[in-house]
Amino acid sequence: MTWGLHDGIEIEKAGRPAVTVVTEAFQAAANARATVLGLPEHPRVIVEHPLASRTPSEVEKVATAAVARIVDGLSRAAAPAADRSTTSTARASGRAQRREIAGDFPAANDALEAIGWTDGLPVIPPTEALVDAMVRGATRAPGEVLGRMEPLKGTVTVEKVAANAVMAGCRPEYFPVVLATVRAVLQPDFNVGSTACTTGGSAPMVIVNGPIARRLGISGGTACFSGNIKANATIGRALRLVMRNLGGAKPDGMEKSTQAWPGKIACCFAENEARSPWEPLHVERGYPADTSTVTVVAVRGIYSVTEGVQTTGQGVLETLVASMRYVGSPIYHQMHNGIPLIVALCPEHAEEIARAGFDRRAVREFIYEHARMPVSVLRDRGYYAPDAWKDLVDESNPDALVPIVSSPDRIILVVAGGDGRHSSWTPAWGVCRGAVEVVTDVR
Amino acid sequence: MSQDTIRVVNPAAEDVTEPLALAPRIASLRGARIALIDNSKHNADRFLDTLATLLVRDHGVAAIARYRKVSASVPTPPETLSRLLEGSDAAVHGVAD
Repeated sequence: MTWGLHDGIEIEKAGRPAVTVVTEAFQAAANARATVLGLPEHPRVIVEHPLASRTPSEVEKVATAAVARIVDGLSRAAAPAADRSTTSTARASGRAQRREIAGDFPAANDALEAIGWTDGLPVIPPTEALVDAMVRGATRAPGEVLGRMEPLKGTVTVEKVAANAVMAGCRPEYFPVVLATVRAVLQPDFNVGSTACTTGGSAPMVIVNGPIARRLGISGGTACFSGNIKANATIGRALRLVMRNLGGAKPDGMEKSTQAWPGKIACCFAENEARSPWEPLHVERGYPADTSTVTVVAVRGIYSVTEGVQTTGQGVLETLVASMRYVGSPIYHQMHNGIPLIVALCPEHAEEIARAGFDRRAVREFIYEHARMPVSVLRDRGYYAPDAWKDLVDESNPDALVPIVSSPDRIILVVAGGDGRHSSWTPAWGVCRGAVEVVTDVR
Repeated sequence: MSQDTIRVVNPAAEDVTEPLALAPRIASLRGARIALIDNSKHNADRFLDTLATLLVRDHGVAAIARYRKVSASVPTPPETLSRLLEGSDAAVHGVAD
C-alpha cells in the first residue's frame, strides 16, 4: 500500500492522471500516506478486503464494480481536499519544539501517552536537560539531520533521536549505538517504510558486535533476547520509538501488521563473542576486531530450535536445517529478493559444530545446501507467485529444491545466548536486506 | 506534591508537506492508452485482467500496458515508470491485499 500511493503520486507528478486501488483495510493508511506525500486529492478507489482469498469469479465481480469509479478518477477533476491546514512549507531541520506538560511523573506519562508519543509502556519524560545530556553522549550536533524516516517522512535529527532515547530509558553512553541503529534503518536497502506498513509483522532485530557491547553491558549471554537487560531493552526500544514517532509506525497510523511480534517493542542483543569458537560476525565481514558494528534486519519472528540429544555438531546442524524446512515461512517465496536469514547458535551448539570441523563459512554452506524445500510443496502456498524465482530455480521441475536464501552469504551467523542447547533462526521480512553501520561518534 | 510543569522536547515528526497539484485529467478514455501497475499480491493480476477487458470493451481504451512489480513493498523503479508513462495517457495502480 505504501508504495501504491507513492507510485500513484509519482505518476501525477509526471503529469499523468492516476488512480490507486486500495482494499478497505488499507483506507486509513492510504489517506495518511497520500497526505504525507502532499497530494490528498489523488484518487483512491476502495474495494472490498481481502482480495487475495477470493475466487476468480469474485475477483472479477469486485473489479467490475470498481471500473466506473476508476474511469471517474482518471477523467474527472477531484475537488481539492477540504483540509489543507497541515500543509505548508517543510520544516526540514533545526531544533525540536518544546512543550509544557504536567511535571508529576505519572501525570507526565499520561500526558505523553495522550499526545501519542509512547509505545504504551512508561517512559522517562524527555526534558531539555535529559535530552541535552543524551546528545552529549555522542559527538554529533543536535540539529544534524540523519535522514527522513519513512513512511511518515519525519526529519530525523540527532536531537529527536536523543529525545526518543531518553524516553526509552537509555543512558547517554548508549547514544552512539542508538544513532548507529537509526543510520542503519535509514539505508535504502532496509526499506524501513515498508517494514512499518506491511501486514507481515516485521520488527528490527539489532545485533551488536565489537568492544562497545562489553563496555555498555549489551548482553549476548543468558536470556539475551529478553527484556531483562537494560542496555539491550533500552537501545532496542529507542530505535522502535524513533521509527514510531518519526516514521509514523503506529497502529492508529501507518502500522498495518496483522499480529506483529514483541520485537515491535525492542529487540537488541550482542554476539556472544567470548564464547564463540569462531571470529565474530563483524570480523568475518572484514571489519577490524576493535571496531564495533550494529547489524539491523527487519524480521518476522524468532524460531527456536532445541537439540539436546545429538552428540555431534553434524547432528545439531541436521536438526537446525530440518526445522527450517517450514512451509509457513514466506522466506522461501521471497528469497529471490536477496533477504537474509539470521542464525543464532547458542554457545554449546556452536562449540559442538566447530569441534566437528565446521568454520563459519562451512556452517553457512551447510545451511544453504540443506535448508531447501521442493517446488511441489511451496507452489500455491504462502506467498507463492509464478516465476518469482526466475533464474534461481527451475520451477517446471516439481522436485527442484528451493533454498531458504539466494546464496550462503545471505546467512547472518552469530553465537548468542547462555548455557543450554537452544538455538534459533530468524527470517528477514520480505524486502529487507538488512544494514550494517559502524558505531561512531563515541565520546 | 506535584510540581507544576516540565518542558519536554518533542520527539515526533514536525514536518509538514509541500502540497502538490493533481495532474490534469483526461477528457475521455476513448482512444486513450492506459498503464496498469500490478502490485504483485495474489489476485491483483486477475483484478487488472478484468479491468483491462472492461476498459477496452466499454470505454474505448485503445491500448493497455502492464507492469508487475517484484514486490508490493517496493516502488516501481523510476526508469520503469517513465518508460511506462511515455506510452500512456493515464495509469492505475492496484491492488493491496
